[in-house]
Amino acid sequence: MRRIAVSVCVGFCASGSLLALAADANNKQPLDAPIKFNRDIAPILAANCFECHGPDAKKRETEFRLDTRAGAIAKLESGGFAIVPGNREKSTLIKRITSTDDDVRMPPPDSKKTLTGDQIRLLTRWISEGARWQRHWAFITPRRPAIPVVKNEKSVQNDLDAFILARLERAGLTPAPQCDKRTLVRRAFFDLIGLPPTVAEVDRFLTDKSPTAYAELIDRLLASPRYGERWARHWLDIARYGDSNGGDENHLYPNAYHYRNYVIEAFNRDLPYDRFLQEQLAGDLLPPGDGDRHTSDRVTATGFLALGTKILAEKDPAKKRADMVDEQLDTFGKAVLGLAIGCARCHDHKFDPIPTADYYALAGIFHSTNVKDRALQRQGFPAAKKAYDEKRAAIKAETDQLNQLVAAKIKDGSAILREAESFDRGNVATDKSRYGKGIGIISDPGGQKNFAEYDIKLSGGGDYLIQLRYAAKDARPGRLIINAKAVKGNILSSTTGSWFPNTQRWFSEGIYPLKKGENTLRLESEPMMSHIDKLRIIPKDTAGDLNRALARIDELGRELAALEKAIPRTTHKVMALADGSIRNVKIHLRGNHLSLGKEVPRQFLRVMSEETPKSLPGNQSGRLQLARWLTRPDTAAGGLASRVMVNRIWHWHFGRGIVGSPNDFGARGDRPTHPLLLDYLAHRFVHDGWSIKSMHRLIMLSGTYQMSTQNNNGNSAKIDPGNRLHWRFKRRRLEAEVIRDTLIAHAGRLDRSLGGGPPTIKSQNPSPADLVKNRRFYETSRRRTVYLPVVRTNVYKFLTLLDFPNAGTPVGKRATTTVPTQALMMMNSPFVIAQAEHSAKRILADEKLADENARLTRLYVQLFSRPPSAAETRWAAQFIDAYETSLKDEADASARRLKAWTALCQTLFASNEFFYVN
Amino acid sequence: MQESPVQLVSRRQMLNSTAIGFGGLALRGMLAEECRADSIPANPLAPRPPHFVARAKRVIFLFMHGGPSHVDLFDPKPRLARDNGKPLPFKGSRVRFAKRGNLMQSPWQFKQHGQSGIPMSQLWQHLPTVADDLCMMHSVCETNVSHGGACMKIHTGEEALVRPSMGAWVSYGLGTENQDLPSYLTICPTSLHGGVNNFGTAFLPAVHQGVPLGSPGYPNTLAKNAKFDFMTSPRATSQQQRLQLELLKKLHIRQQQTSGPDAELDARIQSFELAFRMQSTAPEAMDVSKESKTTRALYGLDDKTTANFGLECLLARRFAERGVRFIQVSHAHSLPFNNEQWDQHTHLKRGHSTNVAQIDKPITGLIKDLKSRGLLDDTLVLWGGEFGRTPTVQVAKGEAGRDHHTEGFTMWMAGGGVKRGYRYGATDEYGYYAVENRCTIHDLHATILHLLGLDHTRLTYPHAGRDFRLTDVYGEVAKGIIA
Repeated sequence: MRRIAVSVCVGFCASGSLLALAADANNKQPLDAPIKFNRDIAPILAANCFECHGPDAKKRETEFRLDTRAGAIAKLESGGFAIVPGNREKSTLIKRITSTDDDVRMPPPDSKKTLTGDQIRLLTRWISEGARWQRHWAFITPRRPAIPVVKNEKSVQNDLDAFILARLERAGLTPAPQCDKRTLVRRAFFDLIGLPPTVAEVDRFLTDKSPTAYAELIDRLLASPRYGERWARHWLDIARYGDSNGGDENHLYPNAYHYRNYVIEAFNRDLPYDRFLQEQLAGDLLPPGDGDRHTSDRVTATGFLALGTKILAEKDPAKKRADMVDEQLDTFGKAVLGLAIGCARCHDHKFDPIPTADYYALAGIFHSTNVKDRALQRQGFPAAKKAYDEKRAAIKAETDQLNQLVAAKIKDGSAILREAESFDRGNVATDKSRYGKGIGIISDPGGQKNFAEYDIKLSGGGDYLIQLRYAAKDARPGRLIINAKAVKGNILSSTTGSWFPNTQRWFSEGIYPLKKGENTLRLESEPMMSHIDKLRIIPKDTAGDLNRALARIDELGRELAALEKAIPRTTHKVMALADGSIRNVKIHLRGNHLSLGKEVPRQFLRVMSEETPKSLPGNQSGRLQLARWLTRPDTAAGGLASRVMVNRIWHWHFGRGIVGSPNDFGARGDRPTHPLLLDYLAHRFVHDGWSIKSMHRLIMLSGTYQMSTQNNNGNSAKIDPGNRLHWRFKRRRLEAEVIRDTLIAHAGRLDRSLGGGPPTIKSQNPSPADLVKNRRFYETSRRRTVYLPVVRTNVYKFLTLLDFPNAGTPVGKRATTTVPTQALMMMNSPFVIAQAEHSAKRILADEKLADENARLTRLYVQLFSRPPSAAETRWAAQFIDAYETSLKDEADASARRLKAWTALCQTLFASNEFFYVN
Repeated sequence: MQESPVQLVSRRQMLNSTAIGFGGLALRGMLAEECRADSIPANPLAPRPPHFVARAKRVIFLFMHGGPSHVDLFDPKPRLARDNGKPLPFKGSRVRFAKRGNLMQSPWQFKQHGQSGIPMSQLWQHLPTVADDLCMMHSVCETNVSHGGACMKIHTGEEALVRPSMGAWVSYGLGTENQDLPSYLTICPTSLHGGVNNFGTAFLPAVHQGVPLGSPGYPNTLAKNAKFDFMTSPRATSQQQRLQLELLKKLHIRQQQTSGPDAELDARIQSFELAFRMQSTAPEAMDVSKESKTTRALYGLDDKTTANFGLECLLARRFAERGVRFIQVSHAHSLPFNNEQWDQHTHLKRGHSTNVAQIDKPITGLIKDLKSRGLLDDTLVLWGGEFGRTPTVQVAKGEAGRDHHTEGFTMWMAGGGVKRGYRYGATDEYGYYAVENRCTIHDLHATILHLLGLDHTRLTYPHAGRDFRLTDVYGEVAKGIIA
C-alpha cells in the first residue's frame, strides 16, 4: 500500500511576497493609489491564503475560499462574513489577519507565513473600496491598449518605447543613451544569428551613414539561414529537444533530428506562430490544403510532443502510458500556455484554477494519441526520382553506344567475347533460366573453391585488356590466373547493387600479355562467386578510339555505381503523433493509475472555456480542436498563447521577460512589469499574422533595444538595480552554443551548411572507447552547435558547463552561472586551445597584415568589433614577449611565436568582453 | 607592469558579499525565475546552519548497482530452505520484472556477529569485525522494478521525471566546508540507469551538481583513471598560465573603467584565480601515494581483487576529511557473465561471491579508518543498491539467480548518529514483503536529511509554480534508528 501523506505539499515559501516587494520598489505606488486587484491583492492572497482557501477543494478545510468572489463574500459556517464589500468593520477577515491571538490570527503560525503591515493595509483598503475582483490577469483576453503619452517624446522611436518610457517617467528614472554603432552591430549579430560580425561586416555598418542602415542590417540578418539556426535553438529549449530517451537510459532517437530541422526551417521562413503551434500539436490531422505546407512537414512537426523523456524500461504499461501523457501535458502546458498543468495530476491546482478533472480531460486527448515513428514521403522525392532516372538512362545509353565500338572489334575478330557459361573446364554452377530469357551466368553451386577455365586462341601475341561482366550485391573477390600464373588477386571485387542481370556491368580487370595461339584464362573465387555473365579479351594496341571508349565505359560504370548508392528514397521516418483508439479517461486519484475515479470527457481548460466546443468528436483525439482553440484571435486562450510567445521573444532579446517567469503565467508566477505593453505586443502579434520576424523588427527598432548598457546613472541603479523597468540594456553572457560557434568561427573552421543528419554517437552504454570517440566527435565537429546530438543525460560537457539546459523539461529561462570549472575549461580544454591555435595561425599567416600592431588590431576587431587601446596593444606586446621568453627550451622561433599568439588568443577568448555582449 | 592598475574596482564589495568556492557564484540560483533578486548573491556553497542540531555532517553513499540480494547477505530466512522449490504461498507483487519462479534457499550459511548478533552470510569475511557499528535496515521498500526507475528513485526520489539528486539537495541545504573542492562528488559513476540524472541538479542551481570523477560510461572508469575534467593544462606551465591570468585581469580592469563596475564580471575574473589554485589542491586530494602502507592494506589496495573498490573508498575518506559534503562511491562495474555488478538474474553464486570479495575488505577498512580518525561520528555511511532480489528463483537457463525485488530489502547505515549494532524493520518469513517498520525510499531520504539536521518538509526549492522537496509530499523519518 502506498502511504498517502496527509500534509500534502506543505512548506510553500513566501516567495510571492518578494515579488510584491520588488513590484513596490519599482512601482513606488503611493499607498493611496487606487487598488488594482490583480496588481495589489491577488499576489497577497495567492502567496498566503490559497494553500488552504484556494482552488484545491481537498485542501480547503472549510467552505471558505478566497480564489473566487462568490466564495469570499459567502456567509461563513460560523455565521458571519469574511468579506463584506465596502465594510471593513463587518469583515471578519480583517479581524483575523490583525488579531494578536495565535489561535485566531490568519495565516496561522504553523503556516510560517505572516502578512506585512503594508499588506494588511492594502487588504483593508481593498475591502473598504468594495472588494472588487478581477479574473487572474493571464486569463483575460488581451485588448489593444492606448499608447501612453510621455513627456520626453523625442526618445520614442516606436510604440513600444512609449510604454517603457511612460513607466520610467513615472518611476523617476532616466533611460540610458543610445549605444554606439559598434556595440549595436555586435548586439544585433549575436542576438539574431548567434555569431559575431566579421571585420568586413563591422566596417560596412560603420561606414553606412544612411538612416536606414540599422533597419537594413536587421533585414539582412533575418534573411540569413543562420537566423533560423539561432532562434530554433531558443524554441528547442522550450520543446526540451533531445536525441535520446533520457531518464533511465539513453537509447538514441534516430529520427528526432527531423523535428529539429523542421523548427530551423520554420523560423527561417517565418512560419506564422499560430500555424507553427497547430502543426506541432496536430500537424498529422490538419486537412490537406489548409495552409501551404507539405504533409511531411506537418507530421514532422508533431515530434514536439513525441520526443520527450521516456522511461522505456518501465514494466507497468499503464504507468508507462500515464507518465508519457503527463510528460506531454507538462510540456504542452508550460510551453504553450505558461501553466504548470502537471500539478493537477494529483490534486486540484493549489494556485491556479485547474482542477484535477481538467487535467484528465486534457489527458484524454493525449491518451487517444499514439507516439510512433511514421514513414513519410520525402519532400521533393518525385523530382529527385525523375532526375535520377534520367541520369541513369543517360549513362546507360552512352555505355551502350561505346560498347558498339567494342562489338565491332569482336565482330572483326581482333577482340574476343566469351559467354561465361561457355567455360571449357570448371566446377561452377551455370544458370541459364532463372535470370531471364537469353541470359546465362555462372556462379558457385554452394561454398567451395570455385573455378572456371577458358581456352582462348589468339592470332597474335601482345597486351590484352581482360574485362568481366558481372552482378554482385556483396563483394566476392577472386583471382585471375593466366597460363597457370596468378596475375591478379582481387578480381570480381566490385558490387553492383544486386545479383540480378539488370545491374550487370563490365569491369576492367587489367592488361596482361597473352601469347599467340592457345592461352588459358582461369577465374577462381572461394567460397562464393559473383554472378558472371561474360568475358572480353581486347587487344591493347588498337586505335585510340577504342582505348578512350573503354576508359569511358569504366568511368561511366563508376558514375553509375555512385548514382545508385544515392538512390532517392521515397520515405524517411519521423518521430510523430497519430490518433490511436479514442477514449476518455478516469481521474487517477492522487495521480495513482491504480486508483480510478470518475471518467471525464475530453475537453480543454474550463477557466478559458467560453470558446470551448461543447464536446469533442468521438472519432478524433481532439488535438486538432485543441490546436485551433489555442490559436483563435481575440479569445482568452489565443490571447494567453500569444502573450506567452511574445514574452518569450522579449525574454530572448532582453534577457528577462515582461513576465519574469516565462513558463509560469499562473497566480504564483511573476506578474508582468509592463502589463499594457504585454497586451499591446500580444494583440499586435496576432493581428500582424503571428509573424515572429515582425516582432523582431518591432523590438529591435525600438529605442529601448538600442540603449547602452552603461551603468553611470546612479539614481536609476539605486531605484531599480535589477533594471526591471529597462532604463538600460542588460549586459548578457553569451549562451553555450554561441560561445562554441564563435570560437570555431574565429578559428576559421565553422561549417555553415544548413540542416543536420541523424546522431552518430554512441549514447546507450558507451564503453570507455566509445566515450573517447564521442568526445572526439564533439571536439572536432565543425558544425554549428544546434546540429550536435543532445544525449539527454550526457550532453557534451562544454555545453553543460556553460548552462546548456536540461533537456528533460521545457526551459523558458536559462541559468547563467559563473563557476571555476568554466574557468578551468577555458584554461585547459584541448578544444579551446585548438581554436586559439587556429585563430593564431590565421592571423600570423595573413600577409596583408604588415606588423604586430596590424595583427593585433585585426584580432581585436575580429573578436571584439573594436581596435585595441594603446594600453592593450602594449600589454599584448609584453605578453607575447614574456610568453616567448618562457618558451626558451623551444628552439624554433616560429613555433615559439605561434605558441605565444595561441596563448594570447586563448586569453582573449577567456575575457569578459568575449563572453558578454553589451 | 607599471601601467597595470591592478586593483579590482569592486573587489572589496564583492569579497564582502561573496566568498566564491568551487561552485563559485552560481548566479543561477538567485536569478532563477522564482527568486526574484537581481543583486549579486552570497556564495551558494558557503556552509549553512542546518534546521536543527545535526548528527551527521556529511554522507558517504556506497552504492551497489544492480541490486544485492538481502536474503543471501543480511536477512536470513530459514523458511526458504524448508520450502525450497515450492511456489510462493501468497500473492506476489503486482508488477514484476521477469516471470516468477519458486522459492529458492540461499546457497550460503548465516552466522550472527559481534555483541549485537547481526546476522551475515558466510560470504562476509571482514564486515563481521565491524558488525557492532552497523545499523541494518531490513524493510526498505517501494521502488521501481526496473533498474532505471529504481536508480533514479533512490538517487532523486522520483522514478520517471528528472529531479534533483539527494546529494544536490544536501549541498543546497548545507553548502560545503571546503571551497576548493566540490560539495558533491561521485566517484566512478555509471552511465547506466539514470546516468547523470542520478547526480544531477535538475532545477536546483547548477553548483550543486555532483561532480563525477571519471566519465560516466559503461563500464565505468577504473578508480586509478578517475580524474577531474580540465584540471591540468595539456601544454601550458603554471608560470605561463600566470601570465595569461595577469593579462586577463588587466583587460578586465580596463573594461570596468570604461563601462562601470560590475560585480558579476568581477566574480568571473575571480573564478579564474580560484581555478588556478584548484589545479594544485584538487589533485592533492586525490594523491594517495602518501598514505601509509598500513592504510593502503586496510583498504585492500595491495590485492588485485579489492584494489579498485579499495581506492574508491580511500578517495572517499580523503574527500570526507577535506570537508566534501556528499560523496558517492559506486560499485557499478560489470562482470564477465553479468551486465550490472549485482544484477544476478543468473549466476547468483558466482556473482555475489565475486562482488562481496571485491567490497568486503574496502568497506570494512573504510569504517575502521573513519572510526580511528574520529570521522565516523559525524559521517553517515550508507550502503545499498537500487532494490533487493527475489526470494524466488528466476526461471533462467544455467546457474540459478534471482530477479529484481522492490517489496522489502536491506540497506545499512553506519556512523552519523544512527544506532550501532542495530536491526531496524523486518521482512516476512520469506523475505518478500517488508512487514515491520516499512521504510520507503522517501522515508529513507527523510531520515538521511534528518540526520544531517535538515527537516525534509522545509528543505524546499521553488520551481515551476510550486515548492519542490526531495521527498515530494511523502516521507517519514525512521526515528527508530537514531541513536
